[in-house]
Amino acid sequence: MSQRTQASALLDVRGVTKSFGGIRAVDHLSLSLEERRSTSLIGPNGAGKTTVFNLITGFLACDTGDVWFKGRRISGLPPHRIARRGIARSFQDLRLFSRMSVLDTVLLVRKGQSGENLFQAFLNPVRVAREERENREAAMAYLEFVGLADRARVVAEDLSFAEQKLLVIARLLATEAECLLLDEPMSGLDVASARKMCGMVRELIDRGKSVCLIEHNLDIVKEASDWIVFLDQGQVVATGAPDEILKDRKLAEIYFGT
Amino acid sequence: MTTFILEVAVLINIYIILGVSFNLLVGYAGLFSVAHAAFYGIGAYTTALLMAKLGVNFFLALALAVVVTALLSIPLAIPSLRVSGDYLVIASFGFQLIMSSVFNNLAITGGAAGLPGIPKPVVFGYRVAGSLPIVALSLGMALLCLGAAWRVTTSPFGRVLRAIRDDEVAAQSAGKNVQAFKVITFAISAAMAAVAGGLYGVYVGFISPPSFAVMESFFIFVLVIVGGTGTLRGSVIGAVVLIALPEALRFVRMPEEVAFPLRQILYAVLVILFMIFRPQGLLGEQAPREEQGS
Repeated sequence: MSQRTQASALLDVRGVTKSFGGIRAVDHLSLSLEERRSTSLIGPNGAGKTTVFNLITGFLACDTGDVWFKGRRISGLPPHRIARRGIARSFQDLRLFSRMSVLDTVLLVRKGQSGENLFQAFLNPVRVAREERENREAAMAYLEFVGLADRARVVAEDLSFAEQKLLVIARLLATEAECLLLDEPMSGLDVASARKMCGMVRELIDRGKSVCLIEHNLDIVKEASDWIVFLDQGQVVATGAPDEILKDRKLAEIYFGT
Repeated sequence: MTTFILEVAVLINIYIILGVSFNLLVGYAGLFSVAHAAFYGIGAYTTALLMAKLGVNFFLALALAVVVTALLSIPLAIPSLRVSGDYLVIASFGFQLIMSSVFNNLAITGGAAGLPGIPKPVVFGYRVAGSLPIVALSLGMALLCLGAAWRVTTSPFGRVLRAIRDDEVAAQSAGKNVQAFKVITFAISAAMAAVAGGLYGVYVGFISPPSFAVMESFFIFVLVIVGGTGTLRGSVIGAVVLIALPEALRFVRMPEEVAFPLRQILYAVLVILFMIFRPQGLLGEQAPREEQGS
């Protein structure tokens, strides 16, 4: 396990609270994600896992507390600005661009595209075309990585469910973000696909990414993560290495409600 | 007869511009507005007033109208950032009604009586009058707008628009400034509608509020639905079909008090039938398909 101090964490959530009406979905929660490590958020349904993702990525505003990324405060920024700082996320319900092709989906998320500025698109078509070529190559490499290269021209909604989940990963990677937040990337997958996804997460860590997973399947959690943060009722109940956390009988009681 | 066909051709060119520009908003960005005729009207009145009252050259007047209309689209674009879907339809409906009453009540627009005496455009010292020159002028403008729209939709900018249409939240989390894209698209769409408005004014020589009323917005909506949202060719086809069809029906003799409601019924029926049987329009979005066996 990495022995780094709190201060060197890539992402810091500090004392964040979020209430919906009378319900405290997230309650003075603090956690940090270390660089080049795979952290899993686990906990029973309604523990506030996805809410934490929404607070980090700016889709929800914190009632109290703040979020820091690479030593800079990001809470309060709009979601697209946070994304550009280097945090990419996936969604439980995938949120694919249903009528766009696989290739277009991955091309879209490439950063620094001058052609997204219409002045450049009209006045500098040569540069835009060159960038498109480069981005297409990069996009194909990511599709190769997840195994969708031969499906590049298929429309997203025509893919199988497992393929759609892979496209989600390719879309995430193509952003070149350092910090990847994955909301249940394995759910609904058959064993073989889930295993493949696990291997991919490990490879991402090797490539220097920092990953945070929300996952229910404890076998997968054990295999795919270096560190576990256990949430219950919006609070961090325990953190530790997978072996310690998954052995803890009290946590199992909370988790399985026995 | 030839003159008649040429006149229809001018109208078709104008409606190609309106359809294509509206399609940018609805088909590509997924922003449902019913205020397109308001922008068409702002463009028409601005061009006409500059030419008739101040003697400004057609192209300069048109350019100014484009700028004015694009700026006036911002008040509508801003609420669209917060409200979407059904609410934007209602907000845009309000905008349309406000603009209609502005056209109807301002002293400078001539109110309900309209604005007569719009001069013919002068291009490089040549006065564009008569059918053929005006067909050429409107065709040139339509091609220019089509080319611009093609560039917009095929550029990375257009890709972001399609992403916003499919999933705004996912587009945001991919680092796209969704609000900026919406405002810019509204401005471009309105600017092109202004070009159509300017052309219409110099073509007819007279403009009045009903040409830019809410029914006109609906008509442009129908045109885009019938042609197909998200396809520029669709809007061209839509314009040709929906302008040529009622003009052809003119040869069936019937009094105008019958023909007018009949046309309205025809449009309504068309939209309903298309929504049920062919929601993608005549030319649905050309989605790339994988070749079989590859």
